[in-house]
Amino acid sequence: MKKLYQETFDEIHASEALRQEVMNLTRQERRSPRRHRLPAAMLAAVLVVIALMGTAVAALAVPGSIQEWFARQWGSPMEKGQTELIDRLTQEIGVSDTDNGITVTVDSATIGDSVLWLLLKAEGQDLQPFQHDNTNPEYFVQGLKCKLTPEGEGEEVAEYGFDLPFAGAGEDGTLMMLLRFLPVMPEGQSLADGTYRGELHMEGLQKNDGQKTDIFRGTWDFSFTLEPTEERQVLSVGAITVSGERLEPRETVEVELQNVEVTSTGFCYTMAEEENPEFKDMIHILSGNWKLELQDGSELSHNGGVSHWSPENGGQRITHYYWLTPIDLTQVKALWFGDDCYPLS
Amino acid sequence: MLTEREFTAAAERYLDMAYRIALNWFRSVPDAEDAAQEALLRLWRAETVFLDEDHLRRWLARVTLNVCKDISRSPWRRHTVSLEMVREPAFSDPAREELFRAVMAMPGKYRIPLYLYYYEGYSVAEVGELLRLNPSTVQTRLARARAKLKTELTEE
Repeated sequence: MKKLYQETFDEIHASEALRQEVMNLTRQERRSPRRHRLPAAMLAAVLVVIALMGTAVAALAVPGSIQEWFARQWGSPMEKGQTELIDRLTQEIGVSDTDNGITVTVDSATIGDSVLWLLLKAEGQDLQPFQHDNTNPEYFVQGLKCKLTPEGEGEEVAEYGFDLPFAGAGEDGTLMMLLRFLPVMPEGQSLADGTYRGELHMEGLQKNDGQKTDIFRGTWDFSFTLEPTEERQVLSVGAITVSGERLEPRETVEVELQNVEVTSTGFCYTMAEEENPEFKDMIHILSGNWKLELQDGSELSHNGGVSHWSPENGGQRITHYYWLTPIDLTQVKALWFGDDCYPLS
Repeated sequence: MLTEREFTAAAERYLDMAYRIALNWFRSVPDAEDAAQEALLRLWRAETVFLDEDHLRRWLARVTLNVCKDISRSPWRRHTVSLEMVREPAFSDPAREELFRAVMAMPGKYRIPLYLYYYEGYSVAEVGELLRLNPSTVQTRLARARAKLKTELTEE
């Protein structure tokens, strides 16, 4: 009976339409990376530019640098302070490896407290122009591994995962790939304040639009050094209480968060087991409730994050969220959770 | 919180599970699809720390059951869930089709524990934990479900 039952339900699958809808969930809800509201003056300027462009909208060029990609994501001209900040956080890497006639170069890196963007260029293939960004999660870098080891004191950084915020080829056929490495940072350690030895391994790029197609395939390995960027700037909120949801039994609960800190590349907090005894199992906090308010009145949502459990201090959960682009902290006004405002200065 | 890549991989692995749980709950494909999609959306939004693969799977199973409960309570939900409305999958073997019909003809209180126990491989205690039932209640329901199925299949 059990075997027949299993064979029967083996034949029941979600429809392809549902599968596609679920895969597209990542395009919505959790992430709304661009700013929600433009200041009136800026909006007027943008409208003028659009009017001058007329009805013909030219295709955007493939970004040639990380800075260009950040600028595009910001959606409006960046303040000088923000551009300078991104320049300070970005460093040239320039290491290459060749396999199957394809040379991949780790061009440059932008280093945040607990996030690392790497721009890779691949040359030697005849690619048709294309562009993929966050809204089109069809491209996957194969066999990715990244190891970051601090020189001197500090623990090796564990790999949590990767995103591929951008991939695209321009008219010359050069493939540009922007990887976002999401590490699990030991508490109190920042990628930005030490020298790290990086080792990156990749095995190609694949397109998956229902059918898996290799864009290119091979083995590429890179070693590089990430230098400290600048003194870590932190705006501290301290300890706050927010509402979360316990799933068993189902109810709204108050959750105490400690060490809530905003940095130029994201924000983080700690949730201690001592204050929240059941946190390990089934409490979740709606990540969409977090917003950053800027001085010009616009709001910024985070662009995802990672959360991990640590046995330190009697057990705690450390969560890091990321901004889509680095933010100039002098432009930051407040952190919001739902209707609760936490001023930052 | 899952990265985009991790979510996509988890959805590839567990969408069918969420859908099958919901189909067992509702016996209605549109409702099951709504519930499975909502459960996966909660996975995408959730900030839960998944200690391992089994934790994620158990979490999603429990959330899917919660979503099914929510949808059942919703005044907007369709109430046309008679057996005749079940859109049956195409089975490769008549015996499987017969068993599917027999399962769908049973009350929900038997279908869900049976699925979690027989197909997902959860123990009686784990099924009890997922459904917030005493293990002895689960044991009883599983025994009755098996007996009902046996009778149903023998009679046909």
